[in-house]
Amino acid sequence: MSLDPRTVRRELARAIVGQEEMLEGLLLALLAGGHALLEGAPGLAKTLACTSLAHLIGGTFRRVQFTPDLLPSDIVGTRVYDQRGGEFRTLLGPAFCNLLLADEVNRAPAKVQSALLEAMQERQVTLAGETHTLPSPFVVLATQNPLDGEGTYPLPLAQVDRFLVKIHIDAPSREQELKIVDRYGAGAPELTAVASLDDVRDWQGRARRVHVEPAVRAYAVDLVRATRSHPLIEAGASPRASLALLALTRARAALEGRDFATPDDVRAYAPGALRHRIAWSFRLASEGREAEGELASIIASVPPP
Amino acid sequence: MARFGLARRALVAALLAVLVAAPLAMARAAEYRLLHVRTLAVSVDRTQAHIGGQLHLTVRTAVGERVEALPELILPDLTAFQVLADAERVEHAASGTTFVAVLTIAPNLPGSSVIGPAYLDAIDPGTHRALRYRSNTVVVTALASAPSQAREIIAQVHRLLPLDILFVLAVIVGSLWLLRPRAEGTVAVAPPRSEPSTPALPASEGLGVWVERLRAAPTRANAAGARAALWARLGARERETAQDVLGRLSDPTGRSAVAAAERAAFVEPAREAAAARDLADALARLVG
Repeated sequence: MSLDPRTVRRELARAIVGQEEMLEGLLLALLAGGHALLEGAPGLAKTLACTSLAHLIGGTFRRVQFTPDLLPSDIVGTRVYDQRGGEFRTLLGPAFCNLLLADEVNRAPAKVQSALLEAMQERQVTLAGETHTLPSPFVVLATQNPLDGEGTYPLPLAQVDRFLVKIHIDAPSREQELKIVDRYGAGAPELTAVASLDDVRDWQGRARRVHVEPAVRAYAVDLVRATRSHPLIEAGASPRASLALLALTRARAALEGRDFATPDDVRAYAPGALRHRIAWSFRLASEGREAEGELASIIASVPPP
Repeated sequence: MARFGLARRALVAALLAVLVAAPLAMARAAEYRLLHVRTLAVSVDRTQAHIGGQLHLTVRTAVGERVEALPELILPDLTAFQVLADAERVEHAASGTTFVAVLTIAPNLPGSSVIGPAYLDAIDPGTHRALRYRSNTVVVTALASAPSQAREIIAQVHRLLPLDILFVLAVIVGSLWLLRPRAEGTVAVAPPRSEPSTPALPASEGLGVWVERLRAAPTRANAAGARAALWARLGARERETAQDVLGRLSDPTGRSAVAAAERAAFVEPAREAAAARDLADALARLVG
């Protein structure tokens, strides 16, 4: 009998005030074995949440600050010539860890992003013809800042599609901000591991075994398909979005301690599974509408079973 | 005087439309389909209106099957009202089909009028018997005179459209509504039966019947029906989920019934019977 994943959720809440959607989204990505893209202004605890999660599950953690001069080898590794031994040696990059924090992922050029996304998808890296499998679990938590667009390389839709979930992070409320000031005024709370990697693998197994009734599956597919017929959407979400939504559905049911999924599990993380997989038409901006509001309307328009 | 004349003509139009449609309806009376009727409800957006003032009547029907039309639906008698407009919407989902008919009506007589019930004839999948499902009713009170603005609108309509044209339009709209195209693939069964054969849905007393059904046959289909009846009892609106319902429900008995309904509706097939029995117990506690 392994640990309840909600223990990690509670511990995370000790470090982070509010931001429930972000904390739950991170855990869901972990349970579903997917990767998460966090988007929010600087100073909203994105990095802190990722480092805290890594501490709590006791896995190896690496952080890479993405910059315009980063090279693919800075992520996946390279071959170097060892003068003393007289031969080439493989140096594995920071991608070889359980939790990789790709900070400001949109600041690195496309070649680096592509190397990272390939590793995310394949869960292995090939260096000089030699294939190296990444550890399990391997979860990438990437952050990006919606401001400061200058000097960034926005991730194309096809690449951003590799992220299981995209989490929007909003500024805390006044009460939450007061709590943050009080809590961190006396130094950051100390976190220790409450779970192990075996626990994480067990949670992932449980999530995969969650039963999803055909009606619930159909609801998820209907939600995704609804994005393909909206007049303000140029390109709707792909079938990969349906797979991602169902993975999140299963993970949420497992996180709630259930072995069956409900329509609420689908609806809860539909925005997170869909928002980065949609190409909105120019009309959205020209009519002064908000993508999040329109997406919420699309989700609300599909009747649940 | 003009308004009285219009009301009288509209009434005659409605009667004419019924007379035109009645023989066809009777000829098809022996044809019913196997339908899981989940909801049959009428509602109005307001229960008081001035004579000539508009209100909207919504007839909502949900069935567990994917169907394109619902010719078996019999709309409430509206002889005390003028039907100003009608709109129909069909929504398909994985769980079945929802029909929503919205009629814009105006009372033409002062006092309280009962609207409903609406009826739906179908074969009950559980018993394979033809049944007449019956909706709830609503009471609308018509106040003696319309406010000046409404009177002005009515006067403008009268000015723009002569009464004879309105009369002809009313006959056409009424006839078209009653003679809507019917779906193929109906099942021939015995002639109509006595009513009410099944509980009115979504009336709250329906839950007691679902308790019995679940105990007699703890199946997923019955769990889905009981869940729909529970939703109706708890005042769930269209497109709401359990989380929405629980968000405004503090009663622990009700909350545990909602949780049991979710489990019975979505748990893996190997455990559906046990979950359906748990739902029956939870509903029994709720009904008291």
